Amino acid sequence: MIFTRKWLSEWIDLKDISSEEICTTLNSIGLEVDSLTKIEIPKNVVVAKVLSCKKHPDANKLNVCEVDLGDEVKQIVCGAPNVQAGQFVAVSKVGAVLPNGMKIKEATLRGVNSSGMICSSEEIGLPKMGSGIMVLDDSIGELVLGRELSEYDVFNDEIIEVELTANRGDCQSVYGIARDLSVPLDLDLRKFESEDEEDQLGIGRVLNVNATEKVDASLLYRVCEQGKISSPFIIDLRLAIADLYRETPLDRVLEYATYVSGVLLRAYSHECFSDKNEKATIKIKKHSNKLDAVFDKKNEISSFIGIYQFEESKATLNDERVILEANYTHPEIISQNSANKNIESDRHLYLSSRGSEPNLDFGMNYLEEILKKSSEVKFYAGSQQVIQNFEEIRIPISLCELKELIGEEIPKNKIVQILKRLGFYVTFKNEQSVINVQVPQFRHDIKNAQDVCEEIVRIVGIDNIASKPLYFSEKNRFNSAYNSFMKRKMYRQRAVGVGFFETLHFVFDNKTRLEKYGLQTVYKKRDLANPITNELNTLRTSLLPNLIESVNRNIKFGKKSIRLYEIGTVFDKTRDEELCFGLVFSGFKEYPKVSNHGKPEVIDFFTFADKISQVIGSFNLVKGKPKNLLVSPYEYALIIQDGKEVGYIGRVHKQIEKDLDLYRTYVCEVDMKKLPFDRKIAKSYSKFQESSRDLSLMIPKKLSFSTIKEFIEIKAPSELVKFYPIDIYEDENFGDKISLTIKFHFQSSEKTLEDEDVNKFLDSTLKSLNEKFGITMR
Amino acid sequence: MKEFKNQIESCKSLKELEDLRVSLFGKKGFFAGEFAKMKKLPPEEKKSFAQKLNEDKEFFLNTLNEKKLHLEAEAIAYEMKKDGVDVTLFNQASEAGALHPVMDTMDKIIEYFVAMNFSIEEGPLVEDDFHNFEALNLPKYHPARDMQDTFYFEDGMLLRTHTSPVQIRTMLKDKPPIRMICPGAVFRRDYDLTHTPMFHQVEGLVVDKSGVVSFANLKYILEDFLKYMFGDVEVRFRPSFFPFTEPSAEVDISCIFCEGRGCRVCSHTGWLEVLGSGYVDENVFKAVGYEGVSGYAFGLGVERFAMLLHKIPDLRSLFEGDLRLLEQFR
Repeated sequence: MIFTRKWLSEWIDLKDISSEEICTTLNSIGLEVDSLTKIEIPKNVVVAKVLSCKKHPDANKLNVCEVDLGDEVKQIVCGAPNVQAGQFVAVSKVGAVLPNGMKIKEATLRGVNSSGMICSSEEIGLPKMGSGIMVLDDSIGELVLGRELSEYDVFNDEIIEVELTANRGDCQSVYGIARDLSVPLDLDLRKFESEDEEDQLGIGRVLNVNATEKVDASLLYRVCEQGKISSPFIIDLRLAIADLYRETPLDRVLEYATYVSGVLLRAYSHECFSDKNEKATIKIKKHSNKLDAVFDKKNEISSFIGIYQFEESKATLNDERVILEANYTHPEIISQNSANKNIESDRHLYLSSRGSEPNLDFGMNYLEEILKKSSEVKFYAGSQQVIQNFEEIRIPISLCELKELIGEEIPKNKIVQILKRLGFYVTFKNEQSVINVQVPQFRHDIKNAQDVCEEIVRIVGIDNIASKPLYFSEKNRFNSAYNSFMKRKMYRQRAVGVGFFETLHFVFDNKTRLEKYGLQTVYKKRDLANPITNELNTLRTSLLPNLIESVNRNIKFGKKSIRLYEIGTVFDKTRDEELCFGLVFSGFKEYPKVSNHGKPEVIDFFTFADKISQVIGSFNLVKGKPKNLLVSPYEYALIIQDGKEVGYIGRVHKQIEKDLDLYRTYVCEVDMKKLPFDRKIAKSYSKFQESSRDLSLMIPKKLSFSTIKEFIEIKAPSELVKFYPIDIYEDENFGDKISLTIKFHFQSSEKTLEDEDVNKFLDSTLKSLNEKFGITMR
Repeated sequence: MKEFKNQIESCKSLKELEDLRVSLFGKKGFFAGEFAKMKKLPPEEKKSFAQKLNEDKEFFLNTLNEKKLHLEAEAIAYEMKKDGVDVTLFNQASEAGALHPVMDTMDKIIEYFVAMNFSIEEGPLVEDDFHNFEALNLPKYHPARDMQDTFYFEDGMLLRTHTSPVQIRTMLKDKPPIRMICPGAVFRRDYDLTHTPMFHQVEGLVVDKSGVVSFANLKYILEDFLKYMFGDVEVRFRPSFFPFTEPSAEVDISCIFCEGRGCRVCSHTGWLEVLGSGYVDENVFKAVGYEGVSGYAFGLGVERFAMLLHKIPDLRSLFEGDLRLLEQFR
């Protein structure tokens, strides 16, 4: 809702209240103020009158005008098509500086002198009002030639923009805002009274309303004869400020009356409902789609009530006789009946589905008043109506419960006073702690005691309620979610310690990309129905594509060593959720620095695996076949922890490295729930000295270390505590063998091992390796 | 004698000193020679000669040891100097990574509520209409559903638009009293400068039998929480509307950038909107079959908190793994 201070003042007397206080109060009662801005018209912009207007001798589109500025008459060249002699206009005199920075100077336009500029609304900093120059009238006050525009009230105003919540249909009008604001400010709302006119003909001569079937809408009709309907400047300006400016004067007046009163108003051409000025019949009944509709003489739909009016039935300036309609339907009925109907709608649906003003008389009378003020119209006496019974809502309020809910006691008389001022009808017995409340019809949002409580709280002001700590019983709250949070946190921090950066990515992915990478995709029947873009048209089934994309992005930014991780949800093809841990490392192992002589090495499989083990703890790697095309089959392994497969590790496929201009890049994805998060159990350990030996062995190239490892493990004595490879060396002279150095650690739990004990073990191990695989010492 | 002292003092290395020690105290050294002379002396002089000689011997031994300690220390210092570096050559670029500012902010929020004896609850991202809307007093055709543009799946399921369905699940699973938060990712079909289709929320719920939990309690914990997060700020409650709470309030803090004077971040209002909250609507309790209870709920956007706390200007940069941003959080 956009309105101005002066506009609001037409309904409540704000003269003693600052605009800041208005805004603070609006905020405190739940009408959130988005902005407060002052209208500022530059100096030297004055009221003027166009005395004459002639075509420019050398330019088709320009006019040469004689303009009366009060104390002088100036010649001004004007390019607007709507300029005419006799108009009152705003002129920027020579010396004025317009909001866009333009300075008005004496000028010559195609050989004709021009001293000043006749302005459009935008040129002096107002919103757009139609096209061409702005034409003033006395709706802003007496037009004094030469007077500064900024001296007029209407240009010396402040614009307030309020953001309404979906429940406050009653505040969708200037009147509604004033009504709500009058309560905390303790001001009287101006009563609107219409005057009856004499010598009117009765409406019965020209209109008959036929509503034989049951409908949901309440309707009120009046008829008027129009001479010429015009809309005064002040209405046009205010509509422009509220961003509701309409093309024709009749539409503007209707829009304005609706915007001020909150009542939905329409104008129909009388002809659509009658033959040759005879009595018209408006038929109101349910359309087959359940919506209330108005039907014309040909039995065609003129409008869906509260939703849309068809162009053909709209009154125009050519209609001598116009039917005016005020209507109201309960917002819940409108919402339910209009949903998923795929019918056209205009601004009325927005208003009616949130709750328009039910006081039809008020809206119609207000429209009549502004029409009579500015236009030649003659109303027929009386109205035709279809009125639905209003279901009264009565709510008993227990003061005790109210106190418990708010947390402090609000005096009963204050409660009663607040509710009455808000339009509630309140009854109670003095000695009882229950008051009975009847909800006014315009408050569609109030249905139960909690709603009424909110009314009291918002008028009292939440900031005026004292905060109090809650007393409650202790309870153990360490559940599985807490455990999962702590576990995630531990792994996240470990990854950070090893040099990885935590990232977040959308849980979406592109289906084509997933397929290209050979990753699973969610079944079509369970996939996203309304993706936001094609790039994000399905759910991700792996963290890695997004992580790899981020690597690519960072390389574009000039990064040379990129280490990222994410712990997040991925989906399988049945759309089941799983928490995964994805890590990626691309480019240099380290940043260039003194310790690596500025030439850091590029990440390799073993360094990456080492980093992963620093994050997720020790594991074994076993060879496997990749289940996707994301990784190279030659640098790929399954990660085994405690005999269980927890995920995989591998080099990004060369094709993807090429396509995305990646450095050498390694990835790892593990299943979070399979990672350990339990207490460690200490094992007993030997107190005797440990000895170690390095053995360089010649092994066949094709023999996997894991095979050798398994074999040694079976053969090994209990004194062999651990062994692991520490170096590989290849040489042309070795033929189809390579040299592999293994470090063996020996320790006994009974004694310090002698050299000969160790040698004996090694000899027997070597012997069996030789027998089995033909392995020799290098 | 004096000459010996000079010799000791002028020794430049441990080697020289050792040679000198041998020449003085060795088997063929100076003192061995002097003691040998004693045999030739008359008995009455022997005692004083020996005494003098012993005193001298001890004196030189001490001098020698002192010198030795000194030279040893010098040698260590020399070694250290040899290894010395220009420490200012250290490259400040740490090899460590960093937590994501949004997740780090989420941790801080969770830690507060855990300390206040709230439990953490989790739920699925893929939800149904009942848990995400219906049970939260958002019946079909409710205009408030417009507020949340929803991602739907072909089978009618949806991506949760808030973490509130976790509250419903927890209430259905547990009995009151309930005191919980639900942190997690949520989804809305909106993608522009200030909206991303995925973001994170933390919501809280406290339920007890009627009369225990009041609106004043809600105010207390949120004021305390916001001061824990943002320091010494003013907290303001504005009545608002959420379908699942009644009364509802939006919570603002005085702008942490301009201290309430008005700046670009707070749109010159002096206030920053940070939380939504309210007293749980009775229809929500009806939906989960609770009777005779009342309570409060609140919810916040973690990205907004993180952006305010760390002055991060661009929301979308948070989801792009952009190291130019992330490296600043080491």
